[in-house]
Amino acid sequence: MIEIGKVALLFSVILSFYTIVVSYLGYRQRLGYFLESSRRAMISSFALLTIAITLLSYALVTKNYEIKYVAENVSNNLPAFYAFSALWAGQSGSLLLWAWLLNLFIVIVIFQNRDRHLVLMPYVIATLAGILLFFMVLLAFFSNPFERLGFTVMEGQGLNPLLQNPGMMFHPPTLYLGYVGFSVPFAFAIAALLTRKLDSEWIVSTRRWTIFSWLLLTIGIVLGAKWAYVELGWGGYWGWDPVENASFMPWLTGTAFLHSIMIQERKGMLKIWNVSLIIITFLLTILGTFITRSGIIASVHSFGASKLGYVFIVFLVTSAAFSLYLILTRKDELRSENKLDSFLSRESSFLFNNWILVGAAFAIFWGTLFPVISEAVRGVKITVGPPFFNTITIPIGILLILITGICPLISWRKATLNNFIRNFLYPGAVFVLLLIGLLLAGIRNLYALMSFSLIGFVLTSIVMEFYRGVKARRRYDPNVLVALKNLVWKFRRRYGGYIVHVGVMLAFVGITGSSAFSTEKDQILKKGEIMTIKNYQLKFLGVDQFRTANAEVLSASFEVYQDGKRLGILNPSKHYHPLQDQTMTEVAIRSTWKEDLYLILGGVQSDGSVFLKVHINPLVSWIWWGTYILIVGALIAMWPGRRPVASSAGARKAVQPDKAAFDLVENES
Amino acid sequence: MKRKFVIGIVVLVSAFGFLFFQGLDQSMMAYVNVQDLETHPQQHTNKVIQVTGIVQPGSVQLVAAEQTYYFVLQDLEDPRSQIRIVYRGIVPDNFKPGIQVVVQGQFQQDRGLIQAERILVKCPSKYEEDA
Repeated sequence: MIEIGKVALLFSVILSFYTIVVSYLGYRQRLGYFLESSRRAMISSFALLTIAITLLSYALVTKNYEIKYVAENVSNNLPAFYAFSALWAGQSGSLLLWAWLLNLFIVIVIFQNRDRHLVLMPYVIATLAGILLFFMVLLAFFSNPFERLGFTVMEGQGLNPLLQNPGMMFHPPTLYLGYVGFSVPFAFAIAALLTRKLDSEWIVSTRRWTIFSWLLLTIGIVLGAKWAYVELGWGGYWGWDPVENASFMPWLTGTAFLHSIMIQERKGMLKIWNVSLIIITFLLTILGTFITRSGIIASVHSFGASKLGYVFIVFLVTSAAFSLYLILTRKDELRSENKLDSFLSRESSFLFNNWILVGAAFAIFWGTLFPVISEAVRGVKITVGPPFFNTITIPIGILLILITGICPLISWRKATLNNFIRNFLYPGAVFVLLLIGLLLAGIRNLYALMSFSLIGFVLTSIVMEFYRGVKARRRYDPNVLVALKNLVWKFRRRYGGYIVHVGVMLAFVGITGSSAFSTEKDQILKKGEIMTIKNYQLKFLGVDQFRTANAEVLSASFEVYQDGKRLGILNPSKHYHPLQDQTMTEVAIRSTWKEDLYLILGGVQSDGSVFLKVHINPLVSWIWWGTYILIVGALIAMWPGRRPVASSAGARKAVQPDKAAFDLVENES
Repeated sequence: MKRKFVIGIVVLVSAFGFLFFQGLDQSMMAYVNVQDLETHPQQHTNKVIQVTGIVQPGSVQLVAAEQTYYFVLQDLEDPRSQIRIVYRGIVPDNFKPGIQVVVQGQFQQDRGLIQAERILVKCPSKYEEDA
């Protein structure tokens, strides 16, 4: 069984290499059957990888300790559910998942585009196969999940208890789906550059892939934040850890890309910018995988020891150099078809939004890699902590909120001052009223004041957009709800986008509230003693001791009162896992829309007293709710509808697709 | 029209640059091992730094009444290089004697110790040294 897995990986290496060669030759020599062969090679490779991943999952669930990866990541008493999730708990397993997802996407792209984008497709497949080849080489020669242990063990090392959490199960695969998804628009961009077909076709045809990848990346990041909040037990959800930053950077550039492609579709501008953005986003997803898997930031020394790191660097540098070469040699064809009409236009607000997002990604990039760079350049390792990231991202975030609000108020091309002021009236009024209200309520934190008031401004401007749209639609649909439904459904991308903005704004409310106004307090408590924090009273009732399937538990009980009213019992606890010899602190959280009461049990002493740390984090749940709304909006925006214009009727009628492709090429040259 | 864009970019870039360097200024910290600290103590006197080392087995003491930990951090390679650490608070779950940690805190040369504000232990995910 192990041998089958190894052979499957090897054959997949050969098939991806074969695909690159054959699709290149097929395109150059105009050989239709070569292209057909390249597609079949990718489908076969997918079948092989599916066998490989199934074998590994089976080995994990049945605890086949002959395989090193299995012995390192599961143990006898681990439930099947978590044993399966160990597939992405270690390095080679997660690389296999990456490769399998990528190959799955390649197959979907092939079937989606059987009779579309015939000029681009050979190079799209070749590019995707190139990325797959990289991962397959890693898997087959550097980090093989089917490597044998070489000796017999009766018990595995087990899954890290921190990863035994239902939310954590889905965090890595979701993130990977997002990462891998960006390969598709990237491949289309490279194909557009190679074939010099630099109109908006590559953008239009991958629009939904882009939204899909962005959505999955967003969900992955939020799940990670939620997991950190619930499981890591330090009181927060975001710590500017290199691994967190690694996923946030492609998110920022991906967000910029989502916005700027609209300008290219509409006006044929920003071509170089868009191509560069998707290339950077793709490179950042690879860098992210590398940072997460290699631990390079935590210790540069671990890097030298691992060959894997060099392979990653070689791939990153080659892809970057190749992309740069393509852009430079096609500079003239990438020139804008139009000019910006005015400073005060929606186009320029998109442009500002882009600069800010890319600027944020840039700052985070330097902050994250600073220790590595300083050590390489000066020999002294210097780190930058969370204050750096906060100093720079908080003002950037507030500026972004402002632009989100202004954007729908300005018209395309050139806004007249008159209609700008008219549109500005209500949102501006809400901004001022909120600002005064918050000042009267005693809030003096400048950033929080700006953030909350501007969010009010943005939400009002979005509501007005909906209001205007519904009002116009009521000529056809007198019923308001029907009008609203049809409005959103007829212009899914636009109104889906606005709903995403609403979600992001609600999340910003939570981020602002929890970062500006959280309080914490700790205290040693004897049985029966009461701790007071803000308007809460926590009465310590005592500690219970019991056993679960794989842990020994110490659970403290606190009776919680708010302004003297009893709310219930909270049980922060310590779980000791004997197999891994590791203790886990399980926090207890009481969450309301206003604030989270967050209890951490520091330790239980011999006399039965406990050390308790309490955080009050205002508005945190708004982040999770905002994300739900964002998901709904993104789903509406990407819901399939009419086929994109790019699939011309002529191409679809063609009986022999590959022949039609060459006709197209011929017509153009 | 073009001038407005130029002004916009200049304003944006300079504000950005200001924040960038101000942020760096506020949060740059030297990251050293215990031996570095022993050989050049004056460089780090009363500064907040990050020191990496191994929690010396048998050195960890918890004064429960103050929830304060006292332990000795020894150099990764040379166990004779040592520095005392004082930390009040909750230690990470995987903190135990004999493991590698990063201690962030103020180096008080006169007292010969580090008043720690944060203790970081290696990440939960399994990093493999060599493939």
